[in-house]
Amino acid sequence: MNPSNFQPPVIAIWLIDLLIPEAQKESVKGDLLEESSDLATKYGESSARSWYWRHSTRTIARLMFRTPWVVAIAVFGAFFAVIAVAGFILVQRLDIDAYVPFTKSATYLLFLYGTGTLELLAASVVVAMLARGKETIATVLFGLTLLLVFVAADMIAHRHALLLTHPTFLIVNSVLIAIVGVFVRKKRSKAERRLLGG
Amino acid sequence: MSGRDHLGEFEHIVLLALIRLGDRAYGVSVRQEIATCIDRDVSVGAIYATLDRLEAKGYVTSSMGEPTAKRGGRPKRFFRVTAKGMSALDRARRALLSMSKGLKLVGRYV
Repeated sequence: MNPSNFQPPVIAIWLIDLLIPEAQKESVKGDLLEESSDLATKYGESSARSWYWRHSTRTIARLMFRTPWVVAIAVFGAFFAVIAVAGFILVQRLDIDAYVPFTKSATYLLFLYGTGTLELLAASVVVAMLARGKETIATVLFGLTLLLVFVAADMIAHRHALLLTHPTFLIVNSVLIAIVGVFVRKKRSKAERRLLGG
Repeated sequence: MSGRDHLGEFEHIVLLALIRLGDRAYGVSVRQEIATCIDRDVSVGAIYATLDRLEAKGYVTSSMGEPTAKRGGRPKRFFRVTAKGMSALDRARRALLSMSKGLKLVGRYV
């Protein structure tokens, strides 16, 4: 087989285009094609395809969290996971009727602020761990995504947008996420310095 | 020296591979050099993640080569070790030598 005829899996290329940072995309695709073409010549196309899949997924796993929108989605996912789990546990433990009385009670406020705090802590730690110095970009994207989702949800549920409360919540939340992100990074640097004995 | 200036084991290996390869150091050749020298199969992503970190620290610089047909018209990204990278390597080497001075490792734990 002529090496130049080897065609890498289209879906793997699509995933690389989607998930790997712009600056590295072309050279990564070139490197993967160069090595897989050599393998196709030596061992056949199916070995080369399986090599391409294995290395492209490993490469994506290593580089995807350098792409700001992936970081934002990871944070967003963590947010909903925490809300869902905390809400479920609270409703189960307190045997709350999830409808009319619930929305007007003190338990509702506890649920709201409790899950809000948990969400803030989880999102902050996730941003700090994943963004690695890109907290600002990740936080802005996170805030914008939340803003769009909340406004859309309000529009659907109430036929109007709560344009004052939600942006305020989001701005405060984003600033707090950035602050906690800096705090976590500083702790990490201190731990590294301790390890070095500096 | 700040906490982020030290070299990790894999960073150390990648920098040495860049020096061994000279002007031919790019993703594929670095990966193959590491596989040949220490029999360690690493992904292209691991190489790029490490090189990016080293570039951010100022230990390497990169430049784009010419696109080639073998690579589907995509360019190679070549890497070179900077003077700062060389001094970091020297520091790491001296630290390892100091720490292992007087130790008889072979036969002690094996």
